[in-house]
Amino acid sequence: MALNIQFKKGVLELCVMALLDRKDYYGYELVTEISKNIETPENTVYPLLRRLKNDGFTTTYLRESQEGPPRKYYQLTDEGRKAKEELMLEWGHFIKSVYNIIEGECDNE
Amino acid sequence: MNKNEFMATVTLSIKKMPEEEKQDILYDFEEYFQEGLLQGRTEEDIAASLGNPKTLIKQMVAVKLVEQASSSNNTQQTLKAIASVISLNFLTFLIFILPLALIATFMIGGVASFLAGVSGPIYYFSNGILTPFGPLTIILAGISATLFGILLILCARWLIKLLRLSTMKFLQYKTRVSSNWRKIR
Repeated sequence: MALNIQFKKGVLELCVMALLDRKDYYGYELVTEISKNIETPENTVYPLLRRLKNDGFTTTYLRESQEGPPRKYYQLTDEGRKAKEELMLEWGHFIKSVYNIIEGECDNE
Repeated sequence: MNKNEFMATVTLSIKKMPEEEKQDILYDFEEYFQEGLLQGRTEEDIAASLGNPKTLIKQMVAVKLVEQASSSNNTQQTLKAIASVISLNFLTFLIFILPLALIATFMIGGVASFLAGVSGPIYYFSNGILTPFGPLTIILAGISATLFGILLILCARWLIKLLRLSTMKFLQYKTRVSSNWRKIR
């Protein structure tokens, strides 16, 4: 599915926050998880995670891992949860609007 | 390039960043290498797929500065953002030089005209200079020059506003995430 680049960036933020709302992830895990549905470059996820942390929407902690050095896990903060809810509302409105336009067109055919 | 060489170059490129940000960036690269190695890739393969570390960091910095500049509308931040994009793509400099030269011309011309319009008549009247033009003509010429100067300065300010808007659009376009997307294997 070919999505506009800038659009994908905004959606990526929503996807990351929605995933973190369900459980804590480490960076690469998020990349893999999202890639199950949308082709996602690690190039965008890591900077996004750093920005979310700087904005206070996430905190990080280290957890031991059997495969190597301890991994840095991201956790959504209360502020982050609020921001995620806002993003979901915006997304919902957007989807509805697009759907209205598309549906409207089909009716005329 | 193996992992140590790659990480060494990264460390050098991020020298000037705040400590916490440095640690975050280094950790993220380490994690990416770790994951790749677990998947059976070689260090060289992973490094090659990431690309030139210097360029990667420059891009990271440019994207961040453009994001900051677009949300803050601060001139200094905008200039920093422009500089970071130019360091990635020199042609950007050429794109900016024409509008900047135009603005400078209007500004300088405007100020010169304004000053001439104000000081000319004053000089004439205080020194009683003989000219073929009557005093009324001198005063009218002075007023016209002053008004013209103000007009040029206003044009320059309007051009600056226009430039700032189109600059942000241009920088956002230049730092869009597209050219180095790679599929994770």
